[in-house]
Amino acid sequence: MNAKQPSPAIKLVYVVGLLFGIGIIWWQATQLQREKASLQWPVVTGKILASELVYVPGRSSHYRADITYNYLVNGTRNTSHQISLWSSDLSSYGGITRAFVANHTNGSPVNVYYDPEHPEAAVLIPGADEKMDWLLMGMGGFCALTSIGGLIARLRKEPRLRALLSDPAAETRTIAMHKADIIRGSNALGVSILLGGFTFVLSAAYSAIPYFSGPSNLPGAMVPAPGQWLAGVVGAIVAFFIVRYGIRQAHRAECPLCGNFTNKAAFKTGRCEGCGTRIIFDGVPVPAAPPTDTPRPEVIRGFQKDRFIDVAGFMAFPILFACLCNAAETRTGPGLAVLMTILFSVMGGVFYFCPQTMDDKTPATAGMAKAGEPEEKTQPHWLDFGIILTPPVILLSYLLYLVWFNQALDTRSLVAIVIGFPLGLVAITYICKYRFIRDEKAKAPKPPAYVPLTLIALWLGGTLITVLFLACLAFKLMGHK
Amino acid sequence: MANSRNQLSPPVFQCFFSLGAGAAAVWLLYRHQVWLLAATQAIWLLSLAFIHVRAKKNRGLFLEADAATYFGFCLPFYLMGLLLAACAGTIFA
Repeated sequence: MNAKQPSPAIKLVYVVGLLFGIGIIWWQATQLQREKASLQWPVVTGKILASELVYVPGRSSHYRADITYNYLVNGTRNTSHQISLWSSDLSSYGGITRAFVANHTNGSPVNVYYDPEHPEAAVLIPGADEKMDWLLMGMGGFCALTSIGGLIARLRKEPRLRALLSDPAAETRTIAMHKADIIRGSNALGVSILLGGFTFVLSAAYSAIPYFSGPSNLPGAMVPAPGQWLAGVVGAIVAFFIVRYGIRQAHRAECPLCGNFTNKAAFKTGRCEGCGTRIIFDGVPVPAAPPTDTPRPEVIRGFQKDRFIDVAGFMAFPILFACLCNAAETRTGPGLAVLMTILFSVMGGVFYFCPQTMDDKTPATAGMAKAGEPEEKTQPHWLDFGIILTPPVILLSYLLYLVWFNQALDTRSLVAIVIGFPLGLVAITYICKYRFIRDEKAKAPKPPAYVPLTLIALWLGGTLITVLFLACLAFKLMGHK
Repeated sequence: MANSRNQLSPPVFQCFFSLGAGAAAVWLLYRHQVWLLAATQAIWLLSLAFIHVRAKKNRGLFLEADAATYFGFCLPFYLMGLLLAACAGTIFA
């Protein structure tokens, strides 16, 4: 008999995090090295042919420098528009962009740094945006270190977990816990993660602004306020202590044997998800659930051709998609596509080696027509689905029309959406309710889970959109732009 | 012994892919990059077609999940991606 093994999925998640972190560090380190190499490039005097500050309207409106210059190398006259390796047109660099255009007027001479191996490649500002590169490398390092910490903790925990799972008395072993402790522990953890995360993001956003504004040695660069980085550090420390408090509170919800965090789901199963130990809550045992015939799948060992084709095909599309999106945004370079490829490949590995447990609701013969079952029974569900999606599709069509013409919503449209969209939602809810009741009376099969879930998601999304548009309308009516 | 209830499963991954495909559609539409828009949306559709074809050979199951689950959840997620990105686009345009 094989000894039970702890799930490898958690370890794989940490490995994915580690690879992601290492990938970011590698990408930024390569970029930094490439950009810094331009400091060693030879210099010639060129001439500015055109220099203009261009306003780019849109959702992230900004200024960019439209510069054209030429220079002579080995008797060949080259023309270029590239300003630096970290930003070809200084898009979104505010003060630096304005100062650069002001200092480089039409016809003025300029120092041009060209690549000796490819003289057609040149820049006006050599070097790297080191602050940005180091910030991203720091984020990658944080991700990698957190993953290493998690992996070590998991590896240290595994022998104990393995012993508990393989124990012959595992089925009959019991522990006592209090429901109040679990509720309090899980609530404290949830609230502290939310609060801590919010504090961290807020302080990080405030203190990181100078990091996104280009090299500080350039004219027009943003000078960080004296307490700006201090605010970031204080915010991070406060966030750390908030989360630490939540984790300490959550200890009371841990399984005393394996240390697994027990949540409210255990009230129904009456077992610890980590080691399978039976839990008696407040002295009252949970009635044992009927045994299921669904076998827990093993980790896939060896090569299975069909499964490999499924996973390879399944992950190839997102990889291709990421590469195409990366091609659309030239400012990020190819690094993002490489990172996403690595991440998706690792996830593909997880999907290949760790098959999912079949959901109780998933029929083993899904898709097979049952004898004597009329096919028309599935049609009303698609009709329900179509009815539910009508209001978002109408709204979407109008918004996409505006997006195509780069237009913003005016006050009249906002009023129409704020009133019309919720009314549409109410109408389709009543129609669906009527149809569900009618189907129930006719003893028709229940709709698949995604039909009511889509309705719930639409309500949640609709509320968010309505609140958002309502806030916009309020701002517009108050005279803000 | 992986358990589907506490980890990223293929249908959940496909949902996020659909959300991204929806948001990317609006982004590319805004930038008038029609060819890239067509290519990315074709890739998303092809991924669903691939799931459909492979599931047909395996009694309607694709990577341990019912193929209908992929389609049923992906379409709303795609629309949600479109809708949220379009809202952001028209508010901040």
